[in-house]
Amino acid sequence: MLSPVPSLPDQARTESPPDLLSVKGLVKHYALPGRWFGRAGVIPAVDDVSFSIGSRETLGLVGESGSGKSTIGRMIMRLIRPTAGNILFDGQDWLASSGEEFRRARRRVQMVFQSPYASLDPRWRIADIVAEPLRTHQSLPAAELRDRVAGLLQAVGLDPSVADRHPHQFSGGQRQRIGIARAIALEPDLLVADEPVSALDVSVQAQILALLQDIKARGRLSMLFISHDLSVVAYLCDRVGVLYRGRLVELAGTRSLFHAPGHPYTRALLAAIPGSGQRCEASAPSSAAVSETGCAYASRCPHAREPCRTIVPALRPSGSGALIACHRVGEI
Amino acid sequence: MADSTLSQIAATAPTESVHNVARNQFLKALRRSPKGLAGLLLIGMILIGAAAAPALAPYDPAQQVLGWRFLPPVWATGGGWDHILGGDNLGRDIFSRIVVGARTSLAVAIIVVALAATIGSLLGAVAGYAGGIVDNLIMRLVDFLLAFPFLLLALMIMAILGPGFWTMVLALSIALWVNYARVVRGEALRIEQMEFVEAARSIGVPGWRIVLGHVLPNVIPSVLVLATLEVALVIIAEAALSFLGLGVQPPTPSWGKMISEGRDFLYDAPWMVLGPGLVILMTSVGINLFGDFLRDFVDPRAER
Repeated sequence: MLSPVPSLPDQARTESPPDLLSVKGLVKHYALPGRWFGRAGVIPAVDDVSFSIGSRETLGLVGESGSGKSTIGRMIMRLIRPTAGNILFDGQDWLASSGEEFRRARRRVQMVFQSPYASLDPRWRIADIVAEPLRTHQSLPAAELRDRVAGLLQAVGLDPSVADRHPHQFSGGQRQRIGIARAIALEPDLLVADEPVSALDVSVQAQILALLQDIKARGRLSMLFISHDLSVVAYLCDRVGVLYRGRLVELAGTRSLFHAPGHPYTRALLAAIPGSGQRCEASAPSSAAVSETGCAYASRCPHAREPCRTIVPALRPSGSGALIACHRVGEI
Repeated sequence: MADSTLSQIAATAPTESVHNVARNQFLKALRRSPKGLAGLLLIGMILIGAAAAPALAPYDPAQQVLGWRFLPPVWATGGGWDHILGGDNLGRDIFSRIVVGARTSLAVAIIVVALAATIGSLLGAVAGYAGGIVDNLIMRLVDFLLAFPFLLLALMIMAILGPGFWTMVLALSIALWVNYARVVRGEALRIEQMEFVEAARSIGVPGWRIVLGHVLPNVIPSVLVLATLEVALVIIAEAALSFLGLGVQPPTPSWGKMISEGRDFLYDAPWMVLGPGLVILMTSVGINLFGDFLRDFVDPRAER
């Protein structure tokens, strides 16, 4: 699965089922504090991002560090509030729900975190870590809780007898299994996986990806899979969104994205996979500030022409069914 | 992944109940830790001495005999075994006063530190976790209290509340909790940024449960260190307040008061401060050693 250019089953969607999650015009700005008062400016971490995830679908979000992919995941988890835009979950306004209603709805969206080391409280026993969502949302008798925890540990390939241990007694891969057990404890409809394997050894990555694939196959789970690693995304995702500096530059089925990338940035990303046999034509990232107007990628793009520097390209359907934000999509 | 490690863990998994396991682990860890044992021994001796004080003290601590005035201790010329640590300026047996005074000093120290640590940790954790207005309110109160010297603050509170043992405990606790609040708030700010707190929030765990379940357990090491350091401080502060007539009333003995009484006779009768000084040192060393061991023990990452 970690081969440079994977062979893919045809996962392109033919008809669109009702969307489980739909994100529209999501914006997150971070204010730069001024020297004395007020603000010196804003950093657009996420800028006008829209996408949707269907039932049982896995959407991958890729991009380099700072492209806003984790920020999107955290906004969907409501760990941070978006500056603008809205999120619909199962047809409901996800950002407006509060109180008991939100508590009930939150069970349906769970998260797998990036660091298997920092995401488990070092002072808690494994049993308590895995039981935390169950204790929060259901009041189960102790015996049943124990059985549920044992079942969850088995489901992620751990021996239930490890329940009395503490996180430091496990390897990174085992810890990530514990994190996954906790995330699926409430049988969520949507799993947000924020770089779940990037902190792991390559051999362990494969096992965790297989586990996620297995969990997906067993249930009716949808997944938002955030990663900077294209080969990992290719293995797991039905569709892939490519982010560059907070903007979605391409959104396409995995197969079509890998075989016919439309956006110059996507091409550069694919060419950057070692052993892909392609020549990387993009220049190195410039440290210069991105111009307020125009395509954010223009300064690195070998195909940039006049409109690229002045007009922000919108995400438009291309001939192949992919959505691409590039002025020169037909020409290059 | 290392499946052999897993089966090893499975093979050694304990079958007893959790409480038994915890107790056995505690005793095992204690046996392996010289400093934990030494600390427990010192504290145990002093606590047993305080508990058995009436039986252990050879004389009534308030009894004044003219002939015992400035009586030297057993190791100095003129001293004798019937007054091991000698007599004080009013002709009272110093050993008896130390044994009986242990009750006052230890009670004040333990109650005040426990009270201050509990209140300070809770408020500090809430301030750090909640942030915003709550944080500002609590920390500005802390700043206000910290602006006064610790003893002066305790004095001011006692001037309002009146003298006595319990008002002294209250005054010292009010003056001391701010230290814990500051330390715990800082730690809480650090812990709040950690991914496991975010993980709990993403699950939907309510804020108060995150504070009690994740933030407080992770600040315990810092609180323990601070608490063990402050026991000796409280013993001395009790002395100062009692010296000014605000704490325990004479003739009830306490270690700190004995030291402040002996200060005037430091050149003529140094043994008046030597005895109580040594027991304060013993107590504080014992508590420090044991606190150190306890901090290692409550950290599951430490090697057992």
